[in-house]
Amino acid sequence: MSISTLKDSDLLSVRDLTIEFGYGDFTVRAVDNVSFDLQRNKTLAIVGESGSGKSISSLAILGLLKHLHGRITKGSMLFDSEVLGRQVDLTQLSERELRRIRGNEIAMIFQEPMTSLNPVFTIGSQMGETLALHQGLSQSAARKKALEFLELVRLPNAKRMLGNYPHQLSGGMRQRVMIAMALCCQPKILIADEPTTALDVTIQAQILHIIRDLQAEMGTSVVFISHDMGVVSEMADDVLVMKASKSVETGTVKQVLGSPTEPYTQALLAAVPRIGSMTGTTAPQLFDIPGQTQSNDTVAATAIDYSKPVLELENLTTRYDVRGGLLNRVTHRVHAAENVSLSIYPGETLALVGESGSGKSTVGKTIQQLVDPVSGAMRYHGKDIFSLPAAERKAFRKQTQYVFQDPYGSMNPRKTVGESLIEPAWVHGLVSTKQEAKDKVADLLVKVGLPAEHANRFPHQFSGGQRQRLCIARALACDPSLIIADEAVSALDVSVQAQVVNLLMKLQADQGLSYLFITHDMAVVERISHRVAVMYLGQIVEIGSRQQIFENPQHPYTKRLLSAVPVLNPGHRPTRPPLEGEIPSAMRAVGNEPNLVDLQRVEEGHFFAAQSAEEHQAVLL
Amino acid sequence: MTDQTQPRPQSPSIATRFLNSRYANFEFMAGAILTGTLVVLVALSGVIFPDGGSKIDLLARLTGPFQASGHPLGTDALGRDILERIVHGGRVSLLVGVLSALGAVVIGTIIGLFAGYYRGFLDTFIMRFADIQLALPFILLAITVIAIVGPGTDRIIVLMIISQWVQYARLVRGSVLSLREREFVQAARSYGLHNVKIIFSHILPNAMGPLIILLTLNVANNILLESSLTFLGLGADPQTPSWGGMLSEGRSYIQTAWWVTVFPGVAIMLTVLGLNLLGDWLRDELDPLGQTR
Repeated sequence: MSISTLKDSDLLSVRDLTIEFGYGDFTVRAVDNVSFDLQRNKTLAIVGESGSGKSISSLAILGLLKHLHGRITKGSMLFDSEVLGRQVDLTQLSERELRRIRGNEIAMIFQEPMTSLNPVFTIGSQMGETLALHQGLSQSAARKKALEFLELVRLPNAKRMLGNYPHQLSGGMRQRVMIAMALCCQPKILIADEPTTALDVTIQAQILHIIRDLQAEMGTSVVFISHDMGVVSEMADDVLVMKASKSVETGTVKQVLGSPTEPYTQALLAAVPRIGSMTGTTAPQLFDIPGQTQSNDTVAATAIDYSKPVLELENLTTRYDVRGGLLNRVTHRVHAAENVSLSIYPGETLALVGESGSGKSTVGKTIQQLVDPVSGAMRYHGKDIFSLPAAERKAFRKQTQYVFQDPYGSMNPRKTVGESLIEPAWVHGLVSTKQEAKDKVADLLVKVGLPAEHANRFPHQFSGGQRQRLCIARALACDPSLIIADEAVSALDVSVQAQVVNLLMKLQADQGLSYLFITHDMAVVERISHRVAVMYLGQIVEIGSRQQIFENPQHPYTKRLLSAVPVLNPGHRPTRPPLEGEIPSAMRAVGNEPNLVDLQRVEEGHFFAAQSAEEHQAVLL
Repeated sequence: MTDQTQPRPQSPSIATRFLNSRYANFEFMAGAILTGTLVVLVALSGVIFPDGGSKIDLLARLTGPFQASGHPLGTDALGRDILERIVHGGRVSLLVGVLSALGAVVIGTIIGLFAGYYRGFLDTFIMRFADIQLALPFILLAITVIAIVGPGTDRIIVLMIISQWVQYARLVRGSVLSLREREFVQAARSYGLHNVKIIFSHILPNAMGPLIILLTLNVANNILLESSLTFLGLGADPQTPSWGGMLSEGRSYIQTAWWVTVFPGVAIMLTVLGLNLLGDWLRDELDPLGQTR
């Protein structure tokens, strides 16, 4: 191997990196001949879909592959180390030398803020550990420095935070603690592996802002791993696109995202929903998937009859009791859905948007009768469902079907796909013989674009996108009139997401289905929905047609949601101010009822909560 | 990775077919051989040793093993043939071990499934009752009950079931609590599947793994428990050979005649090992992913 040296502008130079797992015939090449350079004080983004090898490459930089039983079979990773006082090849270092670099010169932030902090130690002692280890600080000095960095990531009340345990903090706060921890030794390289994927958009905007600010302040180089093109376009200087363990395209963010040369990058970018791309149009539109010809307008052409709703909710309120104390009495209630009224019309998609804890899933689950409401009415074609006898209520379940978020969890792993798909039809007596069932399964599979002979396979033999198709097929088994899709495409890679969304739209056009599309992803909402309802703290704060909400948002929360979505516009840095405060919790003490919002008319079909807008102005803007 | 089907050889011989099957596996083979041998021996014990292992020959008392005396594993303090007694004793031991574990697993699983799925008052009541039962020493309970109803193998089985369903109920309830929140269970509820059906067709199969492990361990434990009870005079009558009884009889001679205790001990060990291996194999086989999580 030739010993080369780093260019002055580069901090890390990776050449022909090849990483393998397994042995003998079972060897899997997770990273194949990948090369990239990380420049000083710049951000390199590694993008790719799940399984492309982007996280493995970053773990290799930290020398953490051994824990995963992987090995570097080829390549070099030159790094200019100050601690060791020379340029080193990270692949050749001993474990002892690596430990001096890890956490000190190269630090990492992980995806899942909920599990990457040790729950039994306080924030202060976890941060102190790193500082004591690498900088030899005394306990009190380490504490002081930890405090300094917690303030740097703008944690409110940082002093008290040092004594807190991780479970006392929200996801966004934990991720800020992680950043503070990673940065407190002032590393030269910060590796951020999907640091905002598990967070809400407004919190994501806040975290990205902090990372950008600190990078500028401290001169850190960042390796930013993400599947989200919008985030990458906001954060990166250089981009490396990976596909199936290989590097596809590298270059500056303007080159790669602005004028990609490789077909894969082009396809990836085409699948990204771009917010604002549908300004001026009224109907939903299919995603363009390169290589598939589609007549774009056929899908949305059907006009919707707004005279008779399929389903109407009136002042629906659902609360969860929180018990405590010696007598196990109800001390608090989570006001998950308060006074929610909405209508869904035949053949229409109503998007219900909001962030985690806003109560959007609760509304869906209440409609599906998975949870019982406290008060309110639900009418299906004018018939009040909650006042029906139990047997008829059960029969109503045939009319609405639920598609869950997690394509891995929503199919019984011990049943074949055919058994799972046909179960709803058995329950409601729609099939009576084995042959009928078999035909129906084949029919359902074909409808969602899967081969009919896959009926005998088990769920784990399918990919995430295929599994979500299966869940949709199961939802179709009873010929429902309404499908509730609860974050149904959120867990999927963008290209797969585009296909599943297109499938949903095509099925709607063919069968006149109505959708309640529950999601936090505004860009997908813009594509798929006819109307949009925005939920905040359990209440609908704004409702209107898609065009009205996206082009003329009234409530500050709606504006916040829309502006927080990362925009795919390479080289453009967003100027939005970061959200300072925390969004309040929907949990309230018994007797402390929330104020009910009053929806005011903006124009035909567009309503918003003017009063709550004033109240929350301060928190939200 | 999933769309390819393995190319199969045209007409595999019986040997290749066996080698490719799910049975060509160390755990299955070893477990099946051990357990199979035991079951056959016990089933045919009356044919192999018509004396029933109770023929006393005081002249040959405490004969050592592996000697040309006609007693391959030696004799005990009354000159009874140890091999003969082990084979006959297997009847009682296996009967008690297997029946009590099966009884407890059935009752405990059903209670655990319903308590965990429906929660509420039933759950609280059953689980507090289970706590009380766990706090009660088994031996004390056994002595009291046997004192009232008199000793016997059948009573021991019932006693063990009564005391052991709790473990299964707790284990199953724990699994159910997490499984009932899984999305496929929610999905089944959402399309209106009856709760009882959800419990037995969606939840139970996914809760089986740990259950099988506990079951195989429990069979072993019950064989030993039966021996303690027999030792205390609460089990089968002393004339009937049982592994536990043999162990306790041999205890007084352990320094001079090790074979009296060691061979029944080895029999218990091999049985337990065989059952555990089979249990491991079965757990893996029931998992469609083909791997343990």
